[in-house]
Amino acid sequence: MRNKIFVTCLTLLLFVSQGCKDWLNQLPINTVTEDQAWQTASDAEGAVAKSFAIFRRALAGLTKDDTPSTTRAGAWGDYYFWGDLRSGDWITPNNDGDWQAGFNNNLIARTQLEPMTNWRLFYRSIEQCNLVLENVPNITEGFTIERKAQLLAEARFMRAMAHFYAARVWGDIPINLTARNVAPLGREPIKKVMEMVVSEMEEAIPVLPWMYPGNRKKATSRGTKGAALALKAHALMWLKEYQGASDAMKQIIDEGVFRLVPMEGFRDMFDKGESDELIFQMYYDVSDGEFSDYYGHIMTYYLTNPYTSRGNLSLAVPRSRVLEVYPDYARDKSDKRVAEFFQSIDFSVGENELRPVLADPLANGERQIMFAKFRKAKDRSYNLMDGPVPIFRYADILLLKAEADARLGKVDESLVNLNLVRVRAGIPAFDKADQPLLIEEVLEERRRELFGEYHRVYDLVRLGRLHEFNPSITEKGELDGAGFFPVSDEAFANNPNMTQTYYWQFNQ
Amino acid sequence: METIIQRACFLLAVLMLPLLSVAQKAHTGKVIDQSGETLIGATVGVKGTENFTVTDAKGNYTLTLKIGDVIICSYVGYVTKEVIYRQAAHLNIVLESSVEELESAIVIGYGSQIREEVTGSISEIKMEKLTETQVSDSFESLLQGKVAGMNIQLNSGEPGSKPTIIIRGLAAVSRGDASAVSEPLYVIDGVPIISRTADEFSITSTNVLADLNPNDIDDVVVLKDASAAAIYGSRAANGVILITTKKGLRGKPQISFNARTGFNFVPQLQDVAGGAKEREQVARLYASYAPYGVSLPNMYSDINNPFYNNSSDWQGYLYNTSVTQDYSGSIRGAGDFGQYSISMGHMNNKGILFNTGFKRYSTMASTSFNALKNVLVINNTLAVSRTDQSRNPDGVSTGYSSLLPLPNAPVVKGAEVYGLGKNSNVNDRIRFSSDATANLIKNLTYKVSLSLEYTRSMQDQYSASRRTLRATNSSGTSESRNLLFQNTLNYAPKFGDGHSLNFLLGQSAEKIETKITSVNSVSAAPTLSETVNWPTGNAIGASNYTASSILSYFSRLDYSYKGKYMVGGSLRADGSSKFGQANRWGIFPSVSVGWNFAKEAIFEDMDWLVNGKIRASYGISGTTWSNDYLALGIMDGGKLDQYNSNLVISYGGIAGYSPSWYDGFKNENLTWVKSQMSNVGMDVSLFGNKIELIFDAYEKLTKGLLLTTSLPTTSGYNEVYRNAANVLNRGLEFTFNTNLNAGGNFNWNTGLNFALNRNRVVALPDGNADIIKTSTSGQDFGSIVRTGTPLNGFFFYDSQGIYQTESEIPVNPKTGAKLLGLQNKKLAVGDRNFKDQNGDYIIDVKDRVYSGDPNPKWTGGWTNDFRYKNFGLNIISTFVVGRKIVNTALLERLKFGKDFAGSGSMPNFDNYSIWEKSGDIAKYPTLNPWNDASQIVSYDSEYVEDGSYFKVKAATLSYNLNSKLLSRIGVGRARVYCTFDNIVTFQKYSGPDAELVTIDGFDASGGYPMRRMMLFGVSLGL
Repeated sequence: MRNKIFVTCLTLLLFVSQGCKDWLNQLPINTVTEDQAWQTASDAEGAVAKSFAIFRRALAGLTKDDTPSTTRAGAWGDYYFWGDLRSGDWITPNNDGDWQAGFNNNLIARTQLEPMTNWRLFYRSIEQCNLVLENVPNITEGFTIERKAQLLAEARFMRAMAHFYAARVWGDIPINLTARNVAPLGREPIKKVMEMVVSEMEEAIPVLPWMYPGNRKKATSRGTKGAALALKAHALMWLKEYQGASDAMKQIIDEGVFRLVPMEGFRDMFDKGESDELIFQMYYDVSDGEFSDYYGHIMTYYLTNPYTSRGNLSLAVPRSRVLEVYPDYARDKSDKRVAEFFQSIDFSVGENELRPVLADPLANGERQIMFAKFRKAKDRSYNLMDGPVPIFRYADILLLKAEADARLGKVDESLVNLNLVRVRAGIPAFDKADQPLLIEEVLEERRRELFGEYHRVYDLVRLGRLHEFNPSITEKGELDGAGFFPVSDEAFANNPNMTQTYYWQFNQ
Repeated sequence: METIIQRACFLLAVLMLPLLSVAQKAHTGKVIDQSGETLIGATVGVKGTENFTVTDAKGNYTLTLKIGDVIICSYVGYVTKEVIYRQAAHLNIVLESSVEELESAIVIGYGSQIREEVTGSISEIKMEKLTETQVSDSFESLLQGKVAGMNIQLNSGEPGSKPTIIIRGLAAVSRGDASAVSEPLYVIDGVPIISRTADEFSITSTNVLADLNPNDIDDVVVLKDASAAAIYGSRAANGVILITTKKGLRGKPQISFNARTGFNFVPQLQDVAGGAKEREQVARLYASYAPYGVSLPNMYSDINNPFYNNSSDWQGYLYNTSVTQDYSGSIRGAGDFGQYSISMGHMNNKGILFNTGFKRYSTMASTSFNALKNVLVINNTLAVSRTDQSRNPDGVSTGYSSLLPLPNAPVVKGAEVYGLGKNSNVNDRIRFSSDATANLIKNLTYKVSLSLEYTRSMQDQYSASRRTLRATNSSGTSESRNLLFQNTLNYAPKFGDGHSLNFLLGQSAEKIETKITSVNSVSAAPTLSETVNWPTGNAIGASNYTASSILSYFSRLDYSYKGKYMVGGSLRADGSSKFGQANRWGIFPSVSVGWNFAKEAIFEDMDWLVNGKIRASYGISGTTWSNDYLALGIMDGGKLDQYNSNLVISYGGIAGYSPSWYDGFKNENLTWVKSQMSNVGMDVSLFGNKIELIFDAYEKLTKGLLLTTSLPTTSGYNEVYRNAANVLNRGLEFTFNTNLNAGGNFNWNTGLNFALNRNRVVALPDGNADIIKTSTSGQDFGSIVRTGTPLNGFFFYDSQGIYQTESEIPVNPKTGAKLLGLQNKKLAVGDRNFKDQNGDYIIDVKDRVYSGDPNPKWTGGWTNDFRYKNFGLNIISTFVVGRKIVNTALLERLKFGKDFAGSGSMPNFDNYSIWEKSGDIAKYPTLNPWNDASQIVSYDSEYVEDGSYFKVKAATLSYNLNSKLLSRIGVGRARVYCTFDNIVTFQKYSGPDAELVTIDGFDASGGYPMRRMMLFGVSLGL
């Protein structure tokens, strides 16, 4: 009997030592570890897509999920607040205190505006790209060399894009081009940032394709040659290197991949993101489950019933301002964009019913014109918002080139592109060959064409002219950096090299 | 020593058995206890036979015996005794109470040891005495004040809540502001059990250990020092608590039943200014401070307002006397076949607060079989339990304004005045363990054991908001599975002249898996469902899984010479899946020595010295962390957002991984938190064990506590983990027990223990730079970890009183500007005068200074046990001396926002000295709700108070019923008792209860007061 026990014990021990081999290898099943994350081509595809997803969230806005120092429960669509809020063209019909503070460039005192001063998500997108650029070169399995190079170039594009966007918002920003960089980085002059963007794009442009397979919306949501050229051109405009900018944009125009769509195509462009005119946009699509609801998209604040369940207008353009910005419409209702961009709602119908849209876009009073450039299916709810967030489009490039050419003295070339946009809108061609007048008109045309499309404030800040349009900002203040957003407190944590924008050291 | 003699005698008896097969005769004897009391119903029999009987009403028994028979006698609550029958005198058996079972073996890690030869710092608590007359949600709270150096604080009175247990000082830092506890390892009958769930996997807040029925526990052994605990290696750094469950004893089946009912009374609650007083106070605040155009709300000024004349006692309405019931029963027995023990218990503890309570159902079966003539012993234990804790959803507040009508008032009758909702928390545990011990050859035993444990917690919550009319449902389940496989080989030979050796070699493999599934929904209209019932797509669900495994090899060698000189050592190697390949194994050694000096010849004549021992030990043990994959670098695939959208998961339909920004990146250097502990101690017993003294001194250096460091935002990451802080705990422990028989029938036992602990951070990374913890509570800054100060030490603004005149506000001589207050506020008369520590004329976070230590310096307990004839009186007290706490309870109530009127109850201002006008000698500054920055700020040193207390925790009066009477109805033993719980607290603290404080020293202001209880019970033994 004793022998039996011995034998049993021995067998057991043998069994145990065999079973122990892998006993200590426990890996998560709902995610992967770093070692597992960079193995195949699909890991690389996913990681690059993720950098775009993070950037999309960065534009929508930081929430309390991203950092405990923020209390905001959901994103607001911060691309609007950075790019349009302070342009002087907006009002808040429901007297929202946060919007009002934003109009007045009071960006520090309101806790609700604080998340807009925090660039954390931009640097997450940048770090994601850094990790891609560090790890993907080692992946060999599952893709062609060409595809691998494209993915790396896309990561380079997104990294530059995130730096570029952040620099437009904050001015001087830290540059982070290495993975796991925990060093306390100081802010670099915006010029250096833009130079970095240009040189990075010069590397990426030859590798990137003009289009990806799949529908137009998906293709233009990624880093294409067109997007990279547009980014390079915008960065060069900030560097005042107009020739380079004009050349880059010429490449886009010459390729013929993009075109100005007729006015009838505006709904496809602004509601669905499906258009030959869009060059780079943030991808939103219900069919892929990528949509917003109440939080996450600026349409929440632009629109009311019948598009959403909002009863009153929260952000709007005063009627008189519309007439001022679109003088052709004021004169003879010729500017077709007004009806595309603005609507009047019959507010006499009860809040719980679907309110009709009035035929005359400016039928309502001064403070009751809805900005309706982006619309969603009429279901009177916030559900399933998937309108695009355009970043670059063909009209923007035509007008930017018109500006560059005008500044270079190539008035004729400038007029051609300017008038392409004007003619589409149904307004008379501009023919004054006077350079300063032309530059001014191009800027006004950009304002008209790109209204509420997150370009206006950047255009004005780039030219140092925000103070002319926003009465809360002085010329001196703008020189001191009032046009840029302040840097959040969080950026100073564990970073002795961080500095606050000069203006914001003394202003709230 | 006695055990050895007993064993020797037993051996002798067995050997002589065949020789003595002489004629058998009936003999009569008597069974009594030490005090001469007859024991009725004691089981007496001849060992190895079926020949057993029970003592009668006079304690007499009759047995057929022959010379050399081993008489075995057992009785509940007494040590089973074996006597070899040689002469008539042997027939009278004296049983010793098991409470005095100090000389026998004591349970230690993976085995047992003769108490005299123990060289580590070990404390044992016999639970019978505590559980018989006290009722508790969990056994831990019964241990309060019982062991020197084990600090137990019941920081909430909520039924089913978890007490904090810290053995020999705090050695844990949390990531955010929350306080971390260094939790000990819990081992039941040799099997480490699931005692907590990592935060992200815990779904209920119920104490995980509350499902153990305290009545099932025989004794608890606390391994305090490294030599005792290091055998448990990587999880032993905070001490080990070994729990041994009750087993059957030989003789007639022991059937016992204990039934009690307690009445929970509401203690002193917060003082509230009711009705007219509240109106008057609000009116005064409006009159004094309200800015132009802000007028007193209607309910305070308009006599016709339906709320104007109310004076609702919300606390009185929501707190009520409640009833606690507890029943437990068991059948146990043993024989040559082995032993069995079956028990059941049910507790229903209704809380004093509306809708709260705790229920426990438990059953446990433990059996042992002796096979192959005792060569093989097989044990099986199955324990199943369920706890059911009901709580209030967040909406219910006991601090509504007294002007709001109670729900039963005619004005609002039928309307739901406070938040609707339910919150039920159910924890289930199934524990099965099976082991087989083979006595291979003489002194060599091999044991294999397999244990499976399964816990499940479920929460269903439903709440409706009165404001938004939205209903929130959430349901969740968290499951943990634990698989443990252990093999041990034990060789314990005795050789030569008094040499004895005990060698242990073992291996264990353990895997712990946890899974969580939770769903919740928000619906636009209140639903009637208490479970998640997705209405229109507004639903979110999540599940998660985590697993870790440990592989260990361990060994221990104990040598003793004549029970006089002892040397021991242990070594454990632990491999954990939580670490990267490179850093996977940890080695945890320990050594110890002991000298029983009382056995030396020079002490031979000193009869008063019964026992004297000096011990010393040193060892290393460890702790890990709860995030199983931390060191591996966890990537994040993203999850559905609050609208079920994929925005965080995919882009253009392509999903990918990013780093999980909160847990940093792969860090193979993360390693065990290692504790080096040295201990010296002395045990002395004097005057026939009437007086016992135990003294210990220790030093515990915990190295490499895991801390998060926040990274610059430009890195993309929020935080990174590293082994950063070293914490030193030093302490002294004193235990003093007496057992005095004052003659006659009067007995007095007292047990006093107290322990000193000093805790401080000794090293931090980056040149000992302060670590400012992430503030998660919305406060303007987190707490600070600084070298030279204790963990959780307060860093506050130093209050110098209140500005009485304009001239007291300092002026910067260079600029002429006045001192700026917190948040750049302009200071005025009546504001708090904080010291500008750095002289920059701005009060900001840089002016925080160290202002107190929330870790108790002295903790202890004092138990007194009086017995007179059949009466017993037992009084248990606990105390804490030298602790600083913050009166956040008051602070929160004095802090008024702009919309304060009607939002909550107010304290009666008359009871506090609050500044109103120049010249007021006041403790609290002006309560101006319209001030730019509130004057009532957390981190004001004025709120730091002395947290010392002395608490008479429980007093029990018991009576043993007349045995004669009982035996007629077939009951062997019966006791009736009455216990008062939470009798009185002596404290300097001005808040409600100095014990209801979080471990980092803040009054748990939203907490649950500790009820007072009066318990009546009957305990029967058949």
